[in-house]
Amino acid sequence: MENFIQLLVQGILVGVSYAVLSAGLTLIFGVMNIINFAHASFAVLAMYFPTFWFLQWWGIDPFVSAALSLPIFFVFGYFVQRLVISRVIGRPGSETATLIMTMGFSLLIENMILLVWSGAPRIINESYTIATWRVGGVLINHAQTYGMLASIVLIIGLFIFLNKTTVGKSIKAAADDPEGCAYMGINLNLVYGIAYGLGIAVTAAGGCLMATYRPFNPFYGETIVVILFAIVVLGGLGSVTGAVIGGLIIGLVQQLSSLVVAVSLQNVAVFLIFVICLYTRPQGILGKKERAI
Amino acid sequence: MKAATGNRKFVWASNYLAIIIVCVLILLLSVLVGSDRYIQRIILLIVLWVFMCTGFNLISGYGGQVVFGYMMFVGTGAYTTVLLFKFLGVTPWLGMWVGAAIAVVIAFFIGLPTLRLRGHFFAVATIAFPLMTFPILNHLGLEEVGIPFVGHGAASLQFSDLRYYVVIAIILLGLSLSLTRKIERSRLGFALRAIRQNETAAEGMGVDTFRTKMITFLLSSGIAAIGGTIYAFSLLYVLTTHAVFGLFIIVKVLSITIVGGMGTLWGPVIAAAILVPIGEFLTAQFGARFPGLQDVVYGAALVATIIYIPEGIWGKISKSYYKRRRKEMATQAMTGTDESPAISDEFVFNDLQLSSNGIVSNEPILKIENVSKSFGGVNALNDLNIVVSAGKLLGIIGPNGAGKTTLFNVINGYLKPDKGRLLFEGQDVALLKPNALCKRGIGRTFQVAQIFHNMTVIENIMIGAFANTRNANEARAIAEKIAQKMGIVNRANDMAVGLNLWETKMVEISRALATHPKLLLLDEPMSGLNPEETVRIGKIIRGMADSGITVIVIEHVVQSLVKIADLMLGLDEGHKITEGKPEEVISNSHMIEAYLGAKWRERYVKS
Amino acid sequence: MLKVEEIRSEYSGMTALDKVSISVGSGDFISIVGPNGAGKSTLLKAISGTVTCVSGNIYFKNTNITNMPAHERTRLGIIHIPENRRIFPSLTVLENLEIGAYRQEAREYADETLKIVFEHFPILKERSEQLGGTLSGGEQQMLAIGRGLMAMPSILMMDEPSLGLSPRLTEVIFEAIKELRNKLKVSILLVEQRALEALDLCDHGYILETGKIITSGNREHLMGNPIVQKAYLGSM
Repeated sequence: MENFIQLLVQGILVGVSYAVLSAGLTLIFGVMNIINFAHASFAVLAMYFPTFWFLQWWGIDPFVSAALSLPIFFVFGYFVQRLVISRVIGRPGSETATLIMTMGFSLLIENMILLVWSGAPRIINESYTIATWRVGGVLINHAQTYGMLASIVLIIGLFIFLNKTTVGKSIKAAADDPEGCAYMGINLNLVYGIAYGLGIAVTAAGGCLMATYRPFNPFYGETIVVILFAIVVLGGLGSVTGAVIGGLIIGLVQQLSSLVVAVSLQNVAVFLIFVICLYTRPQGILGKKERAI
Repeated sequence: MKAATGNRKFVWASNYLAIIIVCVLILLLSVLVGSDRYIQRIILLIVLWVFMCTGFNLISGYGGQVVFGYMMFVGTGAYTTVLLFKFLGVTPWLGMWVGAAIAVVIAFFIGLPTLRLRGHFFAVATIAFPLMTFPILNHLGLEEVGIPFVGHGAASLQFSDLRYYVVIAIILLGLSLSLTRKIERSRLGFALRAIRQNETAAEGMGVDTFRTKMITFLLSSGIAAIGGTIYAFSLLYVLTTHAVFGLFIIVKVLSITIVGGMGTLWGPVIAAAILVPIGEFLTAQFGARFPGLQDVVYGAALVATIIYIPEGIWGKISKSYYKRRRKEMATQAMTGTDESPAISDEFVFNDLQLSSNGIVSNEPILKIENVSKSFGGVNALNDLNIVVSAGKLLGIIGPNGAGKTTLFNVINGYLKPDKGRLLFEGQDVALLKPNALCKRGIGRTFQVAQIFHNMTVIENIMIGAFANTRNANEARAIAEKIAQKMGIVNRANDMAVGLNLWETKMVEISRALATHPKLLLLDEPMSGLNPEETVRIGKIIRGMADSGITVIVIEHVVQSLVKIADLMLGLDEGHKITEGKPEEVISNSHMIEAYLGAKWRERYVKS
Repeated sequence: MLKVEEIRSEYSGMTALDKVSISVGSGDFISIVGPNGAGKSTLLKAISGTVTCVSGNIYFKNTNITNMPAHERTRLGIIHIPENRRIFPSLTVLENLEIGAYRQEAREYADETLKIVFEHFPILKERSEQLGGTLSGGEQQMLAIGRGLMAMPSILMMDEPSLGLSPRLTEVIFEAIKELRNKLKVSILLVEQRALEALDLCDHGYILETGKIITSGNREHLMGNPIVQKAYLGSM
């Protein structure tokens, strides 16, 4: 029983961090119909820079880096979209083209990390990294908990931005109907750049938070990218709320699966859900658009 | 036709002879280079990667269905063969076919549900499978499997001299390139290209899109498996899950195929010859100090190619070749009379040996019984009852949103009716797929012309012809005959994308005719034409009906339609308003009301 | 105020507009009617800049806007309410209206314009917090028109507002348009398939068939004119 609760708690903690990473992915898809294969790689990049770098050189706490990563990666993402991705959107066959292109990005990012920092797994060694609270028989890691709180703040912030600000509403409008936006005089290119930048920024912050409690290496992205896809599809492409729900479900599935199968197979359970979802209900739980078929 | 002979240079470059020559050249190179293991390894790698790319290229390049999970099959082949060899002593010569068979079976089960997913969803769905297999194999303790060196040389596919592997790989490559070439020219190849460019139109022209994709997917998986086997035995001492199920495999295969040119025969060959040596060189020289440099190069090449030359190196070369050829032919043509050839004013189609020549009867060829269809809360079709007699030309009119195109989509299978029966030649066909209906004799054109832009005019028409024949030469003959009849034979080898509106419509109609329709559905054929062209197309449509084809035409240019139609039918908001002789229909007061409103009818029309 | 001179426009390879000329005076209500495929939507798109013209000129308040990009024309006050309404389903009614006031000049007056819109379409005020996607077809059409008004147009172009609406709702919409026309000083360019209502409201009308203007005239000339019937249904 204790074990079950432990895993339940783990599932929620992990789920929330996955949710933050997926929120940006689903937003980018919803607005631009792009599957951003490099999404996880951006998160991993954030683990090295600013998190690792700032800590190493200036002793800046990773949680502060997480906040700093927001503007840094927003600008980075904005320019990637405006300068590179935009050249390919709108061409026939652009869906697969952007998927392949973002795969190229992830390759570039991962290997640049490898070049600069080497492939040795890194860890952040702050006081909270391994410290745990003991509640009943359940161990709860400090860093993960702080990370979860920060993630909740991020997600709420994202919601507020999308629903209460003019720019946010333009993004929602562009996701609904890009051509309709053109009739309003909204500059779609600008909106796309902002949406991509925003998606990348949020995932980068999520990456920083993840780095506080787990080791990372340049190729960690490859491990989680399909998990993020699973979450986004399960939650419903384009729906940030869906990504949150999907993240929690997948996090729980992943952790609770070790009650039934070996720990090394926990991701198999996740992929299985992914595949089943794609076959039976491709629009996911909260899917706005039936794009899969 | 001048164009055909002019392509000889390129035809040569792509035929089997060229494949044999290239293979022999690589072989010679391998022999000449001596036993320098480093260079032999590079040659082997190049050949192996191209081999694996040919498998990938079939489904993802020609077919346009990008399989991101390709390494599933590579790994399956490698693991099956190695495990059979290690634990059961089965020779890899046999084992590789077992591996291929298993990969094919797995592909079948993966493909069954996934192939109906669109574009990038299919790509992402397939990647889950190898990523699932990875941890499962690791869990079973198979993360690393040492390949025992039994030393029986040829019998166990184990040679210390890499050149033996190079020979085997070259033979395999020659076979796979030849297979690709054969497919390119065959019905399957045409079907793949059509699916890649416009799957909906392909389906409507009789291409069994699901079956085509599945067959190709199975072929690709088999090739991948064999490639995995050779790769494992030639280059690995220890087989690891990462080596054959890892993401880097699809990255390399994708990079090489894209840089070379998706859907081209020589593209991957050229790209591999460039990228693989560069990659190996970088790893060897700088691998220690700058790990990952190789992949940075691959990643950059991928991004740059997608942006600047999405058609790939070979794609670009063949494009500029064709451009120059067309310029040459255009200057030649300036002197001649290569404008639209004199088309007779009469359009007689009886000599085309269409399935319905001369059939006129009063039997209904199509019966729509109480058909209803709604979507998005809109009742597009409401309890429709329509009977169409064979050999007649029926015109359907009605204001926007009347449900006319929806009706066509139900008749030819793109939509299933919610209620009611659809009887074609007495058989209930409501649940058949469009390609099956096409083969039964329902042909169609679309409101916005859906031609295959990256195929020539003749090739477009051939897609239709393939609904009735498996033989490519026969299909071409049929296509040429129809092109001649429709007056577009002078454009036979031009890419469909550059045609003007009239020619585009002619291609669409020709393609539909090539399917030998008994019933032909034309959706707004006159839209956008000038008065002269409108009259001409009217004659063509009338000619087709006179030759026995039952024709149903949706039109807004009612003025021209009344001149050619035997009967007309008016729809509004999914209901049949009136039907009968043209003059009756257009003066029917309900019809007037549908277009202009009740008050107009009340005030201004004398009933 | 708006002068379209002999424009030719091509769309998917076909000539959608062939030497079309119309003019809209300040405060005028102009209707363009004709069967489907006549080029009516293309004409509006050519004016708003969504589609380019191969030849001809378009003048707005004496400025040649033929080569001006679409979003700049919006800034001038040329507002196009497209076919099928195209409101944003995930934004509320209020947010849809607010986004309508996107252009600089309109934002200052957004509050006042909003009041006017709510006066004309009280149902929108009632449903102001509801998501756009939950409105009925007729309400969405009103929202689309209201959103167009929020942009404080000099010329308001409406593309087939009655499309997909039941006869009763069509009446409601045309009543609303009539109200607009009577109370506000904006020029209206209405494109419709339903000739009666459109011609009944107009000062001046044009009949478009296969890309050409086959006749034009003022309201009296066109109402009941058999040429109009012929344009739709032909004659034997």
